[in-house]
Amino acid sequence: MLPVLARFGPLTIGTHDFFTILGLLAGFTLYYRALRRDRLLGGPIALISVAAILGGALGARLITSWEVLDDVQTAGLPLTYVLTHGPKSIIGGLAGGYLAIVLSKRALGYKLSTGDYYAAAIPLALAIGRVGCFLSELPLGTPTGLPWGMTVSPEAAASFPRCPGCGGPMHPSMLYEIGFHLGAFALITARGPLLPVRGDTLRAYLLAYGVFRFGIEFIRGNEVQWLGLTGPQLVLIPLVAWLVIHFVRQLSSGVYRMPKPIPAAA
Amino acid sequence: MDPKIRDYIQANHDRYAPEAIRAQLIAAGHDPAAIDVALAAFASERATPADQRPARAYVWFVFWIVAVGILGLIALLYSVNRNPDKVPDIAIFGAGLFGGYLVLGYLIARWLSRRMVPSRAIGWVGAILLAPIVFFLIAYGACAASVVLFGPV
Repeated sequence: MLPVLARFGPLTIGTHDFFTILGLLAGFTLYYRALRRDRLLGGPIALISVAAILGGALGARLITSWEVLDDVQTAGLPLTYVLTHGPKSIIGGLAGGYLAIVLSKRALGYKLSTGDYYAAAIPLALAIGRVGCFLSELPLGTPTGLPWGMTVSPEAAASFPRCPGCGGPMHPSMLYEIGFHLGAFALITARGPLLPVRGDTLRAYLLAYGVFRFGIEFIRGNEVQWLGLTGPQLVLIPLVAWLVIHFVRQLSSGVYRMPKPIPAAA
Repeated sequence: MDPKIRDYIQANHDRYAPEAIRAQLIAAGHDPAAIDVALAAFASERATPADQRPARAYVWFVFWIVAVGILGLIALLYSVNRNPDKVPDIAIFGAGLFGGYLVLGYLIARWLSRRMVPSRAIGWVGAILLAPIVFFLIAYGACAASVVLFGPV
């Protein structure tokens, strides 16, 4: 485990931050390469990307901020504390980035769906980012007797606000997520768009990740908020429902049966 | 360019992924090289008008960024308000700041959008680099002013 990657004099490079930035750079590189291949790279896309980063950053901080609002108010801290020190959520980042893209496209009058160009980039970025989560010794998961259960150092365990499984081997939930994202990345890279409709490959990936993450939360060790569900699970319910409704509507409209072209010999 | 390929791409390009269109055309017996040429030509054709969108769109986009800045600023002012007897002062200050922010943001957006038409490169660099710097300076100035007016956070 490696919470600090390197120190250069007064400058400390945190492993988590390093891998987050590396993941973002890798994802954006892949995204821009795909756009350039299809000759879609232009000014509007650059502006939409800025909006995606902004929306992602805000969403990551805000979507589960209600979990700490009471603590912030009790401690007499300013509300901006939630933005600067509140919990961060990948689900919030994805939802905020998605919403920002939709809004900025509407503002720009950009109608072409570019979601599929993110479909390989996002799992790659998340897989790399999760390496940082894993190495920086974030709480891993619930206790397990499985042979691949992992423990954290006593120093790290003492530094966590809560870590119910820190006394023994835990599920390496970050590694499960890395495996999921790498699998999705490999599948999308090898096969190209999994669905013919523009943007639906990304939505299918988001739906799969939403369902997977919902399950992973049961062994993640996050605090239960309501009805036996954790904060991320509560947030995922409407997001997954929205995606399911989308696909039901797509299937019932018959949009996946592409029109046949006129044969070459005709 | 084969008109059958061109028409099919034109009819389906906005809804379906290029790979899916390519697969359908190949299945119908068309030459893969001809399909690739047609897809590339169509993409180039589409890219040009997209880059020359009316300036008005950029105005609203930058305006949207300003709106995000306003929300952040309101949150900041709210957090500065840890002393209830300063609420009226903060409300007046916040309203003035809100108005100034809107006017200034709109003027910057208008200027940027005009620059984008004669020189897209300058416009894009301006939108991506200049706008956040200007907004940061405005937010920093507002923050410093609020500290002077209402005391440290």
